[in-house]
Amino acid sequence: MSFQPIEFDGPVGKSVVRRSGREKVTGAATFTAEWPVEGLLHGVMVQSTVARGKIRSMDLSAAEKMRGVRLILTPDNFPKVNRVKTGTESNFQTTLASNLMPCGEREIFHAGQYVAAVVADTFENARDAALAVQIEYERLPHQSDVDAAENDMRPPQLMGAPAVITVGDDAEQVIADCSVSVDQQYPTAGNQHHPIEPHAAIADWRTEDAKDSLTVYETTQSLVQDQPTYAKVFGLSPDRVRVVCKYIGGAFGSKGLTWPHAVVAVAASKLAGAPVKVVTTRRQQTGGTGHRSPIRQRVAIGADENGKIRSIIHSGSSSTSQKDMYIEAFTMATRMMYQTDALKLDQKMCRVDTQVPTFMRAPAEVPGMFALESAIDELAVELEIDPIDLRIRNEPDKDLHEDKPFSGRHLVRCLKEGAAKFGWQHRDPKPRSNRQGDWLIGTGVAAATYPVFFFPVAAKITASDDGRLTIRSCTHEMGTGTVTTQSQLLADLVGVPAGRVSMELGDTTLPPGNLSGGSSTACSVGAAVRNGAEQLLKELVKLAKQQGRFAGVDPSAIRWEDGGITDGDRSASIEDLLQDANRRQLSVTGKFSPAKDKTHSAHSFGAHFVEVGVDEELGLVRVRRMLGCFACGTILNARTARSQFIGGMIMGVGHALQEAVHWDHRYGRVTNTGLGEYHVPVNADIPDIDVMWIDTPDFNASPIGAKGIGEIGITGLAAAVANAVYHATGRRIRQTPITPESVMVG
Amino acid sequence: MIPLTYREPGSIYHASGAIDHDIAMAIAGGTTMVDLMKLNVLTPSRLVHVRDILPSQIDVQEDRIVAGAATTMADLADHPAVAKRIPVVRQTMLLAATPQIRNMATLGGNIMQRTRSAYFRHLDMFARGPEASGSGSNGGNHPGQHDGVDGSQLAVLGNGGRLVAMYPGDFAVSLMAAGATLNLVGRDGRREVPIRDFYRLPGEEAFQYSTVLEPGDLIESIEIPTPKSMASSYYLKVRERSSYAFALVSVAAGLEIVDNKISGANLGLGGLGSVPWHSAEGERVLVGKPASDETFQSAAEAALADASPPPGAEYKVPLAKRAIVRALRTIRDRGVMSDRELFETQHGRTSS
Repeated sequence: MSFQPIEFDGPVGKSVVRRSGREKVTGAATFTAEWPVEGLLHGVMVQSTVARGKIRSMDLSAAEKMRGVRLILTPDNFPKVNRVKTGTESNFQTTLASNLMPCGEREIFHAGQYVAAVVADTFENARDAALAVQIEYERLPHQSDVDAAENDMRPPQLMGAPAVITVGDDAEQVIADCSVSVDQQYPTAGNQHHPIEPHAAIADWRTEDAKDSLTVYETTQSLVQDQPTYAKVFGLSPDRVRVVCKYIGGAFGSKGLTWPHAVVAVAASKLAGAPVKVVTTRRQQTGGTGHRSPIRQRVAIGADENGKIRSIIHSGSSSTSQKDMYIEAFTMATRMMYQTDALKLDQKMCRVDTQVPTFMRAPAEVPGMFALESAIDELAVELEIDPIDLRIRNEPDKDLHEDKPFSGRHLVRCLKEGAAKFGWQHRDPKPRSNRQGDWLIGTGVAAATYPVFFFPVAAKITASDDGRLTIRSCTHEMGTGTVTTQSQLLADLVGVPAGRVSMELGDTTLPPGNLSGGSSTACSVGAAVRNGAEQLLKELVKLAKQQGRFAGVDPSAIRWEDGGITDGDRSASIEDLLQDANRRQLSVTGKFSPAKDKTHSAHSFGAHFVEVGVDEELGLVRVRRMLGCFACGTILNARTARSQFIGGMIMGVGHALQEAVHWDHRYGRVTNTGLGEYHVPVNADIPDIDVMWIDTPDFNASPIGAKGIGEIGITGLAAAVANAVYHATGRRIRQTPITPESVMVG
Repeated sequence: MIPLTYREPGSIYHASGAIDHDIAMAIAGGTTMVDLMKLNVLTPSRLVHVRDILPSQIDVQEDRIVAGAATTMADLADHPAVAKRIPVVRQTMLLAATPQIRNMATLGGNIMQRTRSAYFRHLDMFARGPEASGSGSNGGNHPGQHDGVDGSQLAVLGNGGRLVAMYPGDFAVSLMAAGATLNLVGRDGRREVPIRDFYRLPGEEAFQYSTVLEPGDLIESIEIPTPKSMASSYYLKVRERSSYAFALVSVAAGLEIVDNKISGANLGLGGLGSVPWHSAEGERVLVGKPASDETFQSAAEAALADASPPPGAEYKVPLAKRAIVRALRTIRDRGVMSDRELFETQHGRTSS
């Protein structure tokens, strides 16, 4: 099903400053841990130092006597809770991150597991008492190393598809028969999200007239699902639970689920009879709030001499934890990227004694596209065909796996137009062809892609008699500019300046939006806003007719114009219509639910171009230039879109060159638990970035023509870097991060 | 709250009387101290603020530059005499930490910088592994028995064949190369200690270096000699990101070359030693020889001859040798690097 196209002729697409920018830089924005709540207590967790074992004894005697201590939460007093399925096991029927109840288990399944929590009148008193809790463990053998764990487990499903997908003939045999082929392993390190704003929760459990109610201020991307989750786990009626999150200081997927610190806050508030705040430390971002699984991948591709791909195999394994199931669908993009006669996707997994992995910005595509797009480059080298040309030669005319046409692909345009702007035509394809002093200079290209996800959303739209409009929906401001872009959209639809529209979000008392993940927010909320604008038009036409306006005019011929309605001859403003009706406001609830049967395979595409300098003697790799060209449908706001794209690309540089969780597997513990040792790019690492887009709305995929932009920027970027390193040095690095050790020659 | 008293003594003598480097510790810029206290790694019950009572002026003399211990990293880097007469010192500063930290951190504190190793920063993790927990000893013998240890912050040189912590800093590496002298003030008056004698290698039971500082001792000033060789000096810092990272390997080198013959040489190494490393062996190979690539290679081999890398850090040995050769060649072929050239070595592109 396609949607009726809209002509955007107003604020949509303009470079508009994000509205929350000023509040954030002046400190006026209230982030989760900052809500002023009367009588607030502070909780600090005690974490397991062993990766696998049992709690033999817990000595609270010293901690209990310490100043300000009000409660110590342990398995002995942990409140009765209902065990419900986790978010990843229930397809987001709940948002519970783990089956392990924090402070509720006597058995240890990963280092960092919360085994107790001290609640005190100040943070300092809670922290000091937490240090005084003495725990004896019976240490059991553990395995935290994915390379040593047994990885023969089959994922039950991969985003609705089986763990093994085959198309055409036996892919192994076809490759064996091909004149040209590549077949390599691409291991990627585990990553941490490390948002600047640490995860936090303030829980306020109240009992009034024998009725319980709960308010939770939480760092979350999933307000609408959090509310029933707390209700189910703690036995409350959902209408007695309110969850609030007005601003998010970075999430990257790590705030999609209810991590144990939030469960601690609620349990502690219930027991203490007072509001309790829990803020994770930087160190608790490791083992407390999920991570990107290390992944081991094989990609093999066979082609004929003309560069026509005949077979693709993409296989490998990811990890999950002992008690929880998280599945990384890293082969997902390979289902539909290129034309091939035979395709085999084959995923396995292992269980390790770590916390459960979770979504991290473009979870499937970051590892998957690193491996696939590296292999495509290797194939281009084997074939002596330009890597852009090779991709174009294998452009599919439909999605092979889904057997559906693409809603709008434009990958070839991204490659061609990006290449022209980047100056690809001047490239000497020979490796080691450009040396400047100690630096070998190389350029690389890779494709980017991200699927289009929609979630059901309701958005209440209110028109006021002063001509102002308000959108109300329980969605999130993740720093992406939801308020700004949705206001632009509604303003464009009704024909007013964007400043006449405001938006409220971040509170479960608002009409249900949905989770903000999978780059879905702008298009899902936008779809509901479009529907709301259409309903509002109908209501205003009804009002106009009641007022005797537009006599004899077919209601369907009346449309929006300049903040009012018109039939082409006559018009009436919102103000006039409401004032004449003696009404202050008129509200409708816009709704959108994605269709069950999709007619199209809907994805965004893009192309990355990267220039690196490599000092191969010292193993240094530095990015010198980057250009990204993306086809994501309607761009709602040029400024916030550019920020999303470059943010993704910068994170891609981190994935390519720096980010790796380091382990001491003897302990089963992470060693680089702070930002001093877990490196992400700094300003000096990032050159000027060129971003461009194919500005073509995709109404086959989206009611507003827009597809997600939050994640595509990171996908494929690491492959473009690795491909550039190859071009610079003639050396192929098949791992992330690409470390000095891996690059050093000899 | 952990009770903590904070004192601002009126003089060095009062401070000296109050400080024991254990439960009563000195604090100046606080850039590391506060960090480690938050991690509960350092747990003094008394902090004695010494920044305002220690000298912070830079005194330029004929053959040396004397900097007060409370001089900030930023101020030392920006002093024209430092840039001209001993550029390697300025370069260690420009490539260290961030401008914000360099504006706060003092030279005395910088010299006393602790390791970044996880086995220091996590109270309950030991390089020797879980079996060592509670034994009081942190280090352990290697190699072979410790597959799985994170060797990234462990020493390659000066480790006695054990798993011990690496000294992470930059400035002290240039001081070791230059042969600086530390002027200490203590309860019995003042004394001078060559920086090459200031650090003590970790003993049998220790994980990290110690120093000759006695209770009450403070570093009052640092005398940095400025021989001709240090006028053409260079700090090569190898790291995987362009800024705000500790060195994987670093080289502080100075060369005096007369008629293509090396008449003076200074060589310090960072990112490798349990203490900031002075390579007397490397210097010996250099002096009196032609300034050729072969000589530089021999010096590099000599400097790393005793290397004993922990698991995972084996690559640092060839990396260090290459860095030494690169640094020496750079001095010979390019002379003193401008700031712009220095940043290009880090960024891999022309800074705009």
